[in-house]
Amino acid sequence: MMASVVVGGNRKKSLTLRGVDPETCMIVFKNHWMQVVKILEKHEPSRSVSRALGFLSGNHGSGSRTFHLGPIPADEASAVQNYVEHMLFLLMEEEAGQGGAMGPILEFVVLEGVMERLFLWSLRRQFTEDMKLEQLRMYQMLLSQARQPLLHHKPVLRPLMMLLTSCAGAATDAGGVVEAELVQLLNQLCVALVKDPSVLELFFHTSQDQGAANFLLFSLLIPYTHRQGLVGQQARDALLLIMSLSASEPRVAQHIAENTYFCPVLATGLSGLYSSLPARLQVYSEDWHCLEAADWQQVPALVHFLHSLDFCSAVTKVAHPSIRAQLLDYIYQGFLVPVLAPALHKLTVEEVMTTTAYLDLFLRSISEPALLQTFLSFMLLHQHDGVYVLDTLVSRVNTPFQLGTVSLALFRTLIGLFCEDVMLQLVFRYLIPCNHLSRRQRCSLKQRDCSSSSAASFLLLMPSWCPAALSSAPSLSEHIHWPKGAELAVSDSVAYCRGLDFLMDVNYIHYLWDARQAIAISCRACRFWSAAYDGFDPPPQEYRSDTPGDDIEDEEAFMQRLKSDSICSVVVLRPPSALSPTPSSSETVSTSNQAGRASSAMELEWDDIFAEEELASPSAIFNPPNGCVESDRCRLSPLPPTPLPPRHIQEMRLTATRLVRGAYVEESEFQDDAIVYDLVAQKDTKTAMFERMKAANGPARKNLSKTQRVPSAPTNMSAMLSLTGKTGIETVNSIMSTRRRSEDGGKEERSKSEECDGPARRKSEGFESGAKGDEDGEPHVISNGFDVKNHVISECDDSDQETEGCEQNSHQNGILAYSYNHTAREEQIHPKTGLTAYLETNNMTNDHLQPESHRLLTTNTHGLRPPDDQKNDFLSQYYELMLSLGAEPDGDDITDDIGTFRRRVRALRQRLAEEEAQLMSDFGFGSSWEEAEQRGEESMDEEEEEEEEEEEGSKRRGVPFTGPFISVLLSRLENLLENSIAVNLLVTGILAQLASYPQPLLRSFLFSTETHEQHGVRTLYQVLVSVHAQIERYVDDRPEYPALVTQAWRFLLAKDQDGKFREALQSQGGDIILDPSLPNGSVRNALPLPPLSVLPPCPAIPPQAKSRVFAVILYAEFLKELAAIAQEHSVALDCCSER
Amino acid sequence: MNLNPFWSMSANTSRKRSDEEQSGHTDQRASPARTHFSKKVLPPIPKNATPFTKPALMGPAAHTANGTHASYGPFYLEYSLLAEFTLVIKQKLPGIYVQPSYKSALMWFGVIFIRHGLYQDGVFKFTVYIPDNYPDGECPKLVFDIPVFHPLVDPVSGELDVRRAFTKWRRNHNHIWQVLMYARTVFYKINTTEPLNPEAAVLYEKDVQLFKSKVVDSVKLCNSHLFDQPKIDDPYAISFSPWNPAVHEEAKERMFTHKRRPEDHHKGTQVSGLSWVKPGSTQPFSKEDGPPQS
Repeated sequence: MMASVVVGGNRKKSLTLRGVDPETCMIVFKNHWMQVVKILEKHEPSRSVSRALGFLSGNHGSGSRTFHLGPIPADEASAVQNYVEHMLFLLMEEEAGQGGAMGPILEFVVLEGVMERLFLWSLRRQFTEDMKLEQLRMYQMLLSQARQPLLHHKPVLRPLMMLLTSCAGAATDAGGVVEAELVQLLNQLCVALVKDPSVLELFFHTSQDQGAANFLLFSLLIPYTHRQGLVGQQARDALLLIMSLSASEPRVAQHIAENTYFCPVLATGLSGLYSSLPARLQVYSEDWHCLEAADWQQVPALVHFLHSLDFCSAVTKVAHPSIRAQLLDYIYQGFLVPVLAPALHKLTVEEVMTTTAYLDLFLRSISEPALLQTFLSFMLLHQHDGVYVLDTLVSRVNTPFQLGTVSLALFRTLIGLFCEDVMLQLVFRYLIPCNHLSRRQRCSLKQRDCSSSSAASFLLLMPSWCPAALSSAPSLSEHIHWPKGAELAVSDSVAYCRGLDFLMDVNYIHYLWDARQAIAISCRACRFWSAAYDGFDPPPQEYRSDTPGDDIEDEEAFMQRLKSDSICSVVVLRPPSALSPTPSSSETVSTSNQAGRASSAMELEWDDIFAEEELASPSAIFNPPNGCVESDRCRLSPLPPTPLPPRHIQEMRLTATRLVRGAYVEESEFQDDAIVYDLVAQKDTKTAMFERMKAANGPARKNLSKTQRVPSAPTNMSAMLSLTGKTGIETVNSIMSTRRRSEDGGKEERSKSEECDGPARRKSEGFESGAKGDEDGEPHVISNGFDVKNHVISECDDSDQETEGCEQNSHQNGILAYSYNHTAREEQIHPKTGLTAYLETNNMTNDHLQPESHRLLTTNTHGLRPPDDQKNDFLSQYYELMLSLGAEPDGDDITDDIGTFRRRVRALRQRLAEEEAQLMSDFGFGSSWEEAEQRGEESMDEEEEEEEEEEEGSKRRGVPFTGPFISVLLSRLENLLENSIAVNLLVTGILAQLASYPQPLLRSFLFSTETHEQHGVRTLYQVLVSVHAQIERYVDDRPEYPALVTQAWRFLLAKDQDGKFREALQSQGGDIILDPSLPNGSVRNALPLPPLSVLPPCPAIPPQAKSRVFAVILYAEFLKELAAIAQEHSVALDCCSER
Repeated sequence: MNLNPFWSMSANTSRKRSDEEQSGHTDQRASPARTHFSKKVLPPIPKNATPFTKPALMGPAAHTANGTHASYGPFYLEYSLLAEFTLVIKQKLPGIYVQPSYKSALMWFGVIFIRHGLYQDGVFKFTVYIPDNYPDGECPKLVFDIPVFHPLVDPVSGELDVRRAFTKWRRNHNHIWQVLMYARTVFYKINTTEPLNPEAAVLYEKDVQLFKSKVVDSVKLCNSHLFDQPKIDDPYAISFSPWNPAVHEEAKERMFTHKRRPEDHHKGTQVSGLSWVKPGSTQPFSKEDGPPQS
């Protein structure tokens, strides 16, 4: 019945009234109305309309049922129906009068209060869903099709408002149909409002009539803010329209900011949605490091969150500054600080890793600078438990787990933002004082390296056995720029061909080209920076008191704190109940490459730490000044960018409390906003979190599958090697290809995960299930549409496949399963007992495998040479480096340098002697290399403590400090041979991007090829030299390596070329490839790619050597990349200095 | 590619640079420098000369070669020259325009406008020849197309005596723009010691009037040959042609109206950086409120 109005109306639209006399129309309309009125009056209660309305408006229409007198005969109802249909048609077709005056029909409608009476009639006939739909559609039609403005007239607008109010009240039980129509109507109204803001006044007034000084239209939309699907989208569009309106209408802005909960709702919505994200991602590959689109599109909760984040972005973009400021403040105070910060400091490595990956994804998703600023200021300035979030994140780069890899990816994103504030905190504040430079270096900061001496130095570090075509980049340019042989056509410029090594030759040109692009992009991006960072602007004196590392003690404390923090934040604190013999917590931790060794020394260490810690061992007192350092540091308090009256924050907290208790009481003046809270309360974020905390006392149940996936390898090292033999392309492929789960190896996992994850629950979409699921605090799995079972397959199984090169690793990726393990134990990790906590964590640091250990490993290798040789090495090395400076050193510099040099040699010799002594004993036993190495590692773990103290001793001698970020990056780089491919790609990628930055301070630091006078500042070059030595030494013992590496090199270059080719192809028909909706495993087949005919065969690399072989290749390629960047810097027209 | 470039187009450097990058080939028949660089076989980098493992080899080798790395190949040379050229652009030398040859980065065409002094109104075309072991070799040569009457210009070859200013070419200290600057200076400040053109030197000392008139003649001669075909056949050689509105008006128009901005070139890959640092501050997010950087 109700549909007939609309349908009928539409049908009649095809008729035309053109040429019909307006008078006639008017008469017809009046006649119809007379008939309608007759029926209406027959059933109308005796009291006056206005009283009924007053009653109504106070009760949201819910009282409608109380005053109907009796059933209305169907024939009468349908008679009214028919008349109204005709009347509406006439009304819609009526043209406006002269000068915009009302047409006669509209005038009649207004005078007689036709719309209001019709609304009352619906109420009279029991205000059912159908009635609402009928009325809503009637207005939709009128609004969209009327030829004269209707909303200006109160008698039209008022019943509309009443209708909206009453629909809103019933919206929750409407099964969606009414909701959909309501939101659509609201959307229409917003469009009308934006088109003609003069109606705005009336909207406010009409609302006031009902006793609430609100902007009903807006309030009604708020509940749908976070809704998914079409309704949510329409509501958000409508809200955005109002937001853009607010930019020009201060009144709207003021109302929204002061009288509605729009901003808090948005922010708490984010919190709520965040809490329903999987707490840990079960990643399908050791190389996985960030959430690509293909990843997150498979997680509905994540998609949902990103939609809301997008919406926040959009609001920030278009809304009035006051709303924007408020929203950003709420996001900071209501999402980032209370939700994201704790999440970043959760207890297990997996959880922290997951949060880090989320944060990375968020940063990549935010398009609006203001919102990005809020996120960044949170990362840079917020302190969680007295530690800056950024510092914590930096420290995690060095964790050996996948967390380290994911953290690297996060920093890749950060570095790629070209954000001055980020770079200032990460890098520049340590470089501004210029402590790391000699006076001469400082003067030449701005000079460019005209003669490519840096590039030459980097290229000289190529492994000595490299085939000529690979290492001697100089020779190739002969062919490119000065071709021999006469009369080449222009188009032939790069068309020289040198047979097999063509790819290797042409490769350097690509690096130059890429470097050129990268530098140009960086230059443009940094144009708006506040300073040039060239050693003069900002002046070196301008160092900040809060910059750690201004003096040695500070630096020590800082590093110490960093380390302790990194542990503190990722450590699995064993709850008392878990002190049972079953090693529950350690398995969770062992997600790293080393996982293969079920009881590796490291894991044992981790366990021991906690055991000891709980006993509060005496050695716990380690670094008392920590606390003081904290308080001495006067940094900007983490103020939000635009501070707001604290009232909002208080309100917010109040609200949150109400929500948590589920006892929200409507406040009369915001009655419409109240609906919002029902919605939010359903999601019940806070409750869930509280419940989870409560439940945390239960024993931690861990998913064992991560540990299981690696077959027990003979040694730690070989496990690593076998795990990481993947090329970058394969990594990309593996991310892109589907996560079809493999059946092999699944059964075991299945039983494990089922047994360990406790009752698995299906997470239903929407908000409803969250709270219930969390109540018992049991860990459970959210399947995201997949089976609960975690299918993870050991990558070792795939190595054969990969060796063959072209085979797709479609089944290797396992499933992207997310185990949703609510075992947060925040209470335990946030000891508010300050000092104790620090002491404990320091103790942990002492015992623990930390960055320095990597360095030790590499320096140990030096120790194999007799010390005298070493001395000579260093002498000549020193001269060589001095000379590489180009200019003849001045006299005083020489004496300076020699002094430093002698000190350095002394220190190094001392260290080498000590290390050598250890190594001799360690290596004495091993007959084969693997054994030796294994032994070396184990003994290192044991002697960690002593060595670290030594490290500190030697570090104390160094004064300048280039910041933890640079140190951590360089230390990971130094470990190149041991790293996984993913880590190496990220580390070199980040360094290359840093090197592309145009700021002279950074450029000169990264491209400096001299040994710095100040011992203690390690430069990129020094680290590369060290890696070079490692490689040389490693290969010296293995004569078969050069050939192997070269072959693999050719293979990789060809594959890279092929990959580029494919990329180009895909960019044309990209939809097919990236479409995540394709059924499992079919993506590969769908690709119409050319055959991989030209690829040379990948050599059969022993699995345990794979990552090293690739690391060697990557090292050489990285040298080329750096050299190319250095060269392009020398010829770049720097736009930055021309401000 | 503009085969007959309007002279001022040499200022359009960035475009030239990219052109030139792709164009290092073709024959070098007319290039005097050809014999030097096209046959040169460069010493390869010693295979084992990585500084830390075999320093004994490296140290002395580096010593012998003028205190620098001995083995800079044309690969480095290319970038050294590009860097030099970039420096020239940045110097914005008054009245001097140069442009590397199409055929060789070691040969630069140039023209110098003298705006006052004895040589006022002189427009002198010249060519710079850079040694192929740059920057470790001799200083570049600068040869005027037509020998200008000047004590320091060889009356036969037209070569300017550059070496007196750069007795020893020091890498990282000496740059090609300094040579160009020097070439400009000699026309404003006459030096007669050890002249290449003794006649000019003597006249300047003894009979300035005659010297002046000879200079005027020389300037006239040079200017009368301005529209000649370039001495060296090269697409990038600087050539002059009489004012032709059909050809030049548009270029002039563009020169005066078009402000080249870096972003004009790369609209597609625009990446805007972010900064909330207040100028003069080293604190993050120190900018007061202010709309975020766009």
